[in-house]
Amino acid sequence: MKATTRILAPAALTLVALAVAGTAPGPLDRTQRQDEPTTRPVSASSPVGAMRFSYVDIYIDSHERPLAAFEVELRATSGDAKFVGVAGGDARGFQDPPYYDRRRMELQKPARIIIGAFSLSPDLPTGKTRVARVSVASEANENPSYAVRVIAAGTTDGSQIPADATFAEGAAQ
Amino acid sequence: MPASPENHEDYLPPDLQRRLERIYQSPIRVPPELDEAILRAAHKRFANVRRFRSLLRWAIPAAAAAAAIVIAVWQPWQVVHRQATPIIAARRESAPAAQKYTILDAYRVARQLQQGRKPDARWDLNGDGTVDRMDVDLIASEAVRLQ
Repeated sequence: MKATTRILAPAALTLVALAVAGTAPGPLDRTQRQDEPTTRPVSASSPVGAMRFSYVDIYIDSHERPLAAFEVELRATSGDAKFVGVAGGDARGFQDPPYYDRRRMELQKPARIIIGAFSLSPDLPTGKTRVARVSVASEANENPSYAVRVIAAGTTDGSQIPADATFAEGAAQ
Repeated sequence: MPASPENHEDYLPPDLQRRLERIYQSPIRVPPELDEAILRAAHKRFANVRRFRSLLRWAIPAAAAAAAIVIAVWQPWQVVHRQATPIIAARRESAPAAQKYTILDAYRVARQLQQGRKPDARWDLNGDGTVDRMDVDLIASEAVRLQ
């Protein structure tokens, strides 16, 4: 009995220590939130189980002015949707994934995201252009609806310009 | 089994055996006290080894537990976390037009850098003494940050 205790007690202590250490959050989690620009997209994939994957394309219409920078908010107004990734658009200068808060995006309920990007390219789009694609995961029987608004839009000299934001939904392939 | 020519590995001819015994017979007698002293020293030595092993059995897990608790409580990464926020928070107080950044702030600073102009030092959000692309990324990240 005593010998068993002698063997098991240190092992148990070690396990407790490892468990305590394991419950602490990793350093990367904390520092990434503060310092790392969150620009990596998560690509949409085929439906898995009861989930449905779709996307929302964001369009900005800067009318006759070249669009150098934009910041928009997209939110789900109904349905249990979750934004799971962001990719760039097809407008000149905005094909890279925009800035967005990847970690907090996944925690928003109802789903909400702010995306922003700028381009220093001399060849900038005018009129209505697709600037980003947001991937959405939702329950298969959900049909979420969305709203989008412009927070800021700017042209080449850095000044703010009037712009309209719209969106279009699509099903992920 | 007695040694015999049949099991030749252990067999020695009696004459050779006697001669070898004469050669290796020690003229020195080891007193029993010396034997006992050697045995006592050996016992003492082995007792020390046993104690040390017993100590190690507890010391290593205890040290691991202490280290885990210290790490869990102290969380060095929180120091990084806490340092990062005040830098931005403090700069935000003095940064131009800065209660809430927008992507236009990032664009304007990036544009100045592209044109070779020196942006206002107050945009040095990471506090590294220079305004560069990393600060532009920080401004943009702040602009899109969710609460």
